[in-house]
Amino acid sequence: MRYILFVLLLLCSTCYGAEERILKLPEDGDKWYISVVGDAKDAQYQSIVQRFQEGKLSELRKQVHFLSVTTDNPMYAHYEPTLKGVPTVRVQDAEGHVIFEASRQIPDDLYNAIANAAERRHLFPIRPRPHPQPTPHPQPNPLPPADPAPAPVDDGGTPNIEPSAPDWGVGLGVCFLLAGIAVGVLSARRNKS
Amino acid sequence: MKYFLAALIVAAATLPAVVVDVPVPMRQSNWVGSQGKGSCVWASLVTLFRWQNRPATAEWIHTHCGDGAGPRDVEAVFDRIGVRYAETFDDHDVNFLEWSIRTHRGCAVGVDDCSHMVCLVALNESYAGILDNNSVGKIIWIPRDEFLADWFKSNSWAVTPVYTPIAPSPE
Repeated sequence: MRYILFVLLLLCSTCYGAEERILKLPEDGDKWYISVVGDAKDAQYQSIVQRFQEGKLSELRKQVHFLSVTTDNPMYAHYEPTLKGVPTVRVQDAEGHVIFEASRQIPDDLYNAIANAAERRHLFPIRPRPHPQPTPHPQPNPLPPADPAPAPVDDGGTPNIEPSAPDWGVGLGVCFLLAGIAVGVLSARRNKS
Repeated sequence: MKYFLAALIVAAATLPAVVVDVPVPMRQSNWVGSQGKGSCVWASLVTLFRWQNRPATAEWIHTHCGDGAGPRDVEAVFDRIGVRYAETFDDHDVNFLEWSIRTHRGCAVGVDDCSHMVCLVALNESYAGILDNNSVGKIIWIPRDEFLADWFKSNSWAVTPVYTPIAPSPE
């Protein structure tokens, strides 16, 4: 019986007060922001949030301040005046400059769309840097119930996005164009001679 | 008049950016608790929880907490509901204030000989920006030295949740 009580107490202690006062203050003021804003009941919004749980977008999510803000969240008022519609994915640097934004029509390859936008602004180093080792997510607490699981705190600045793969389609197109021009020039010379 | 305008322009140029730019409707006004006392500590924290995208925690505190409170009251509630927070008390730790602004989180600070608590929403080498829950419509600008002297006299108490601050307004 004592063991059962002990286990119950242990379970309670892990449920309540799982988070606590932190002593090492995270220096994360240079982190970028990714905000996903939309209607919580909208399937497209849910799908976008889910995409940030997987693959490269998940890795990116761990390196930035990630915010999923639903239209019933009080802080939606902060976003509403500057939104073109919902759902919206907005990537900003620490000063608030918009690096990438898509509303309603969200690209299928969202990671590369963000990476290309960042590359266009020459914001990322070409050489990949080591990936950070994030600490595990703390367990969610029963009280209060509705807030999402918080991101772990860590020091961090500009995220590291690997440059997207070269666009082979464009390269092949250019090759075909050059070959066409060469063939055209050659045939023109033959016709002259 | 010219000198007044020049002083105004110089003052405006030295004001820091408001990094905790909470929309006015989301700024929690002070309320009278069940014991008839003001709830400035809880009101400041509710605003900060909203700003750090913890709306459910904010509403829980708004509903369940009230009246005057000190560090032990806040710590007890935070420990019970499991809040990640940072705090300083009686250490004159100005670095804490600067960290809270540098990381866009802001913090609740004791003022007026610790009889009141407000949100620190901006700070630079010249000025502090204060969001007072007794008058949430505007940011109050106080010379930095004046603000720090007041804060030191108020046991230099500052506390803030440590979650994800809302993204800045687009530049």
